[in-house]
Amino acid sequence: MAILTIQTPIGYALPPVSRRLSPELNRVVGEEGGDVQTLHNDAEAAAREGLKEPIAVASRPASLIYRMMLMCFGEGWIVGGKGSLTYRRPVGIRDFVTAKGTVRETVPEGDGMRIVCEVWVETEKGVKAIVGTCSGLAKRENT
Amino acid sequence: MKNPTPTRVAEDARGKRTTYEEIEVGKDLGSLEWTVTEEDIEKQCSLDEDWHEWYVLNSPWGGRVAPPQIQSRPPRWLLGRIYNIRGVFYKHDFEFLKPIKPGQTLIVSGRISDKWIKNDREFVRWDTVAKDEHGDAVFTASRVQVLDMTTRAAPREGAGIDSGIKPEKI
Repeated sequence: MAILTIQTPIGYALPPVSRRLSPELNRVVGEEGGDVQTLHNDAEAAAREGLKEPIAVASRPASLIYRMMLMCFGEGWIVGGKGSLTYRRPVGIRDFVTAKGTVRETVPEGDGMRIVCEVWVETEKGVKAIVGTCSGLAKRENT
Repeated sequence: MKNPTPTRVAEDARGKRTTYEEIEVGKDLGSLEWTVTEEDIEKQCSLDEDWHEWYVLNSPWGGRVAPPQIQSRPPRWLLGRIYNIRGVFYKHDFEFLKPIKPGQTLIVSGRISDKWIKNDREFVRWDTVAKDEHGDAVFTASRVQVLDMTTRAAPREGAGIDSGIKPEKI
């Protein structure tokens, strides 16, 4: 059951979703089956790219936004979901991160409504590492 | 340990890095065939700790479907087939048009759509679309990568370890 409906008010706060990242999530297996050293899992590889330390693969913290959107829209996210995300700051490979959002606007689309949300992922220090908008479809009959 | 004198990577384990000047706006990146496996879906759920029953058991579309964010990686593989750009992910615009199912083969194609310099760093955007066996678009994705974390003032002469040529695996 989707959380957001066409009757959800502007400004509604989406249910936050959190996770703690871990180095294991940044493991990359190469075509030959061995581990690949990347700036996400190896200090020297990161240093050579100008980073102080390995950083999380961007899609790991972003995954929280996708999970939050599925909770909010259900079917209207899997088919009809849209997003525009900016990765503003690197996220540490052990950071605790939380996705949050609010409903920004609704736009009629087809026989339902597109609900546009401001979304972001913040670190435990309160840094907004990922910001942007995501939207999904709410059916008119699901009021 | 950080290099004492900042440099931008000129070459890495997979070969010479592509420079900003070598990137051709409008360049056709070609296409790749991506067959989505049960293992791909399982791995995506595991990496994302996202175990919705639609991704594991059954869904309104009949059978299991993939988390839609599984579409994030193939566009990156496509870029890596043409240009060796490491850098980091900066922007992502996407649209999910049809559910992705295990066993489905998608054709992902793309084109370089823009490049620019901002705050003394170099950026490239490429647009992709994935189509199913009926020729229907399943997802679109437009990604932006910053070529280097280090500014353009740093000489491009360093040796890297990581590469922009990616293993084509979820």
